[in-house]
Amino acid sequence: MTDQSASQGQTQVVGAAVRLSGGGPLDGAPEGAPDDVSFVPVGPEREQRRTRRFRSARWVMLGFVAPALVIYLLMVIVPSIQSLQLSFTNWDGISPDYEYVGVRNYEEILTSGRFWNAVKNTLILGLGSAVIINAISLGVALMLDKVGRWQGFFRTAVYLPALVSGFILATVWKYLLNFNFGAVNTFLRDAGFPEWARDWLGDSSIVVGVILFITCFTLGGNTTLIYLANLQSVPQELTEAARIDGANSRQVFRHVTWPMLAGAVTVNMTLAMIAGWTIFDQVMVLTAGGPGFVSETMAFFIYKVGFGEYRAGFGSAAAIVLFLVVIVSTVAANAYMRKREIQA
Amino acid sequence: MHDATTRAGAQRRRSAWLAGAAGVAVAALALTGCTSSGGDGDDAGTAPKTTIRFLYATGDETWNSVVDAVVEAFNEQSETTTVQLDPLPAGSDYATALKTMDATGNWPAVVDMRDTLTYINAGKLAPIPESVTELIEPEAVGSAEDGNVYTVPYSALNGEIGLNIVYNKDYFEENDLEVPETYDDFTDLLADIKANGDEPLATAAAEVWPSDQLWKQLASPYFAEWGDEGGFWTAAQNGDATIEDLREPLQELLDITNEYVLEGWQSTADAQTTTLLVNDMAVMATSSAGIGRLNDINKVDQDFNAGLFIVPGEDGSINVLKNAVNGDTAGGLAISSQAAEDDDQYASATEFLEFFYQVDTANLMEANGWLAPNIVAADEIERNTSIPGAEDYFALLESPNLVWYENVSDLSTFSAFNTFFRQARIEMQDGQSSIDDTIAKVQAEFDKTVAAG
Amino acid sequence: MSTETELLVAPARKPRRQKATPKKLTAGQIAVMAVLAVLVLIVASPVIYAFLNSFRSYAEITVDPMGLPTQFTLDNYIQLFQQTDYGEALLNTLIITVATVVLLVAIVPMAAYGIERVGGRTSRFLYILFIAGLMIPFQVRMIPLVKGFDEVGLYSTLTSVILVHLGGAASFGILLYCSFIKGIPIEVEEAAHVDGAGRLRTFWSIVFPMLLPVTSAFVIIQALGLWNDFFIPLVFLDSSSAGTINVAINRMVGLLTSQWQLIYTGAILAIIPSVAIFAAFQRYFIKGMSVGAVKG
Repeated sequence: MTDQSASQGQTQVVGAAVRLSGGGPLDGAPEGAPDDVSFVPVGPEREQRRTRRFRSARWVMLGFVAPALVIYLLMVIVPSIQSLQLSFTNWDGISPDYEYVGVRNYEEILTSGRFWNAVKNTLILGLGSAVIINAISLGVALMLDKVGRWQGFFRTAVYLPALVSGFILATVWKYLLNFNFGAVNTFLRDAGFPEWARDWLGDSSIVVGVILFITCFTLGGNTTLIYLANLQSVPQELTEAARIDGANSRQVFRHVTWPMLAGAVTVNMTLAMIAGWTIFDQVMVLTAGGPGFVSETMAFFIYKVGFGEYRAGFGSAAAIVLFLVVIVSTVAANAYMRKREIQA
Repeated sequence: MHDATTRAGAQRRRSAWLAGAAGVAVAALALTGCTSSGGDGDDAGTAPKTTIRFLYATGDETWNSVVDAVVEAFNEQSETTTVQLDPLPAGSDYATALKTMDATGNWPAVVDMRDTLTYINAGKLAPIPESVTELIEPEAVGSAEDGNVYTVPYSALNGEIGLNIVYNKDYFEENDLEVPETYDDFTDLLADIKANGDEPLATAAAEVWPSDQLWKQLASPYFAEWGDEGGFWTAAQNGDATIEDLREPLQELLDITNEYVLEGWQSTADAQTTTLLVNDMAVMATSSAGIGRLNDINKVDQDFNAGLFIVPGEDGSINVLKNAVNGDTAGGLAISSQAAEDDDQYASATEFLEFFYQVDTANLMEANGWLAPNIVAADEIERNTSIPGAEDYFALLESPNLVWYENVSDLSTFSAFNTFFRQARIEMQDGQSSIDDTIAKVQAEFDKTVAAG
Repeated sequence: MSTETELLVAPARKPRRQKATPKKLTAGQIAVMAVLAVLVLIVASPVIYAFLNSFRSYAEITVDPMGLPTQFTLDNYIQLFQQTDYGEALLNTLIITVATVVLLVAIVPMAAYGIERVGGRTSRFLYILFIAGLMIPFQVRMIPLVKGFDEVGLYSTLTSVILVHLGGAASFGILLYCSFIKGIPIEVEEAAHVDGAGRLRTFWSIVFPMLLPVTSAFVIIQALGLWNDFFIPLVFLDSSSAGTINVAINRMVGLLTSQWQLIYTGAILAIIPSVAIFAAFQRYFIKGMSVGAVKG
């Protein structure tokens, strides 16, 4: 799934769900109970029959997993391994044959300033989008919590932007941000702030920031709802007790509410980051990596060079590097947040 | 056990639901089969005619209507062939779209090509027969290394003659300005407009390819000098020329960009230059569409008096790249090898292309606002001069100062290098990289391209 | 582990606000509402812009991009369907969305159930195998998948898009469902088993209904993602297919001119179904989201 708003939304639901088991995704893994545990814990004499039936039950259970497993292997695992293999070749994507060139692709990538620029942008967009979206969502959830009767209406209004595809939003924003006749600059000029009117998508010093901004500009509908539900599930007795003890709003938030949310925040941020590494739609539509190379991200670079410039082997190598970056940064960030969470 | 009944009931409902869902899934999958192959089974009726597909880019409205008109006329008069239109998504990267089409192994008979050399080398194109090429003005047709012609032009937008400056004629009149005849005239013109307090020139770089529009006009006098040695890129490959030799035009590009180009060019899309011109936000704009841009302006604002010219060299000559096999701005029509394997398809494709270069077809194109290709019988064509500025374009074709030159490269990954070169130029124009760094960077990339063969 | 049990028992638990909300609006509330309103307006401005421009002609938009419509005709809407393949693209997107979601619901909960119940090291291994997919960016498998589909002749068919999405969504689905299934007490299944129900039937008639809140959230989010997806159809559908909604709109952004009036119209048409369905199923959706968040 690569639609940004949806994959973030997906991860939020998952994140909320997994939070309950106390931590990161892997914590939910089955614990690897001993193999002969019986399916139904009953008395000793029937245990033999149950165990036998369990053994056959085991195959049935595997059968349950089979369809999804097959598709998953074919669509995810196998191509990933093939990609690894391709990364050592110079295939161009259309010729029937190619040669192995060893690590030449990797050398080229790792010594290319253009690539490191793409890595930098990927990190900015990935981390930035995760942090900003979660911050905005939390803020909006806090606000929604306060509007009382109108909550339903506002909740819907806040969620609606998440229904629009990132591609469409970016396509329209691109036009609104046009330096010469876009609505944003026209508004700024008419309102008396002409110096503020900038070439949002063409000024190399701000363009990545602008892309980040537009990407985050969906108010994170799903995340907001999750946080809202979390907020509302904080037991009233606790907040009341805190107030009785003389705590003001900020202290209540910091000592009562926030610890309750910390777990959800960790998981949401982790999964939002994973979605953030592969942001593509907005980059492609808003700037196509330009001006020059300045706003390229790794995902875009792979599509452009590997796919569009007939360098499939090279593109695969870049994809593998992207994969490594994702793993390293996700694990590191997750570890950091879990530590903070324990302290909270 | 009273649960059993409700459970059984639930199970029945459950199975019904499951069956329903399965039915939907199956139906959906079946439908995918139908829709994705959609269009193929449509002309079952009249059996003996061969159907061939014609794949083309749809960025240009005028071209779209021309294709519709020409194909319709062809289908009506042909007894052996029906041409089926296959419009290709132009989007922002035609080359990518072609590549994915190739990945299907789904080549149509007649194709609007880009990155032609790559495909020729991969054996995907068939030679075009003489019966077609003899209809076309020899200067407008280029042959590949093996002597065969693989692409033929679809408009007199030959080579890069469509790269020009579109300007506001009324403004020129009101301000006593003239079309430049030498390069110095051009820089004076820019300075004059600026002195008036107006924006001289608008260019577009939101997409990468329009960056050629200004660059090529500045660089062509320099490229033309290498015409005798097989073109600049060939000389560079042999080590006789380097990117350093392009320093002067690069500097000119940088200076013009810094002093005379409308702000915001980095994020302006080529399609938006029409808006800028008709709103008097700039007096001139670069374009690579020849008559297409004029057409667009006319559609939007009938009162706008547009004209066009090409930036001349220092000596007043107008250097234009001839349609090369690896032409990366203009395309050409080609016949795919896949279709050529079938005699009927090949014969049909040939018949269509022969029709394409008839005088009547040329008239039909002109009537639709399109500049017909340079056929041998060009004098007989009725030119469409109703669009403001069109007469400038025809005049260009006949200009005595017009000099054609060649600049082919037979490197297999040249198009990737070219994209890099374009992006590097934009980087330089944007001030992110100095000329020295840019030249070094581009040279390094070129060397790498040569090494990769 | 007890929290998971409570989770499933408490989906309909009302949030804490039981006391009557004051009828008068405080200044603080008004301020907050104002901020929210401004935020929503800014975020929705592209949609408003697209809506207004869908009533303007090409010439109008090109000459004055930020102007207002002068008349409200449906010309663009008609033109969109007549001149482009947008109609077919709509249908394609619908097919992809429905088929993928149905298939996902058919195989993923079942697989998660299998993973949880098979026990032993196999369980853990399978779980981690699926979760690993979350960390693999799509770009890593993109190029081999294109080649692979081409070799079996499925390139540029809707089937390829559906299969690619299935692979990608499987990881999320397993993650989601596994954690919920953990909370389902085995005793219930055991009872069914004693009554002679087979595993399959046990799953579909007992376990699956208990997963419905999660399924509804999963379905809605997946459906939304599929409907709005751009990149995967872009890569896997070429010119021989009409594409999906976003791909079709992208094609209208041309080389020399862009058909803005159709682009905006297409965008609005794409949004309408999402909004309509969301409005209709809002309650289930929000309940589904809340399920994940409620703690005992």
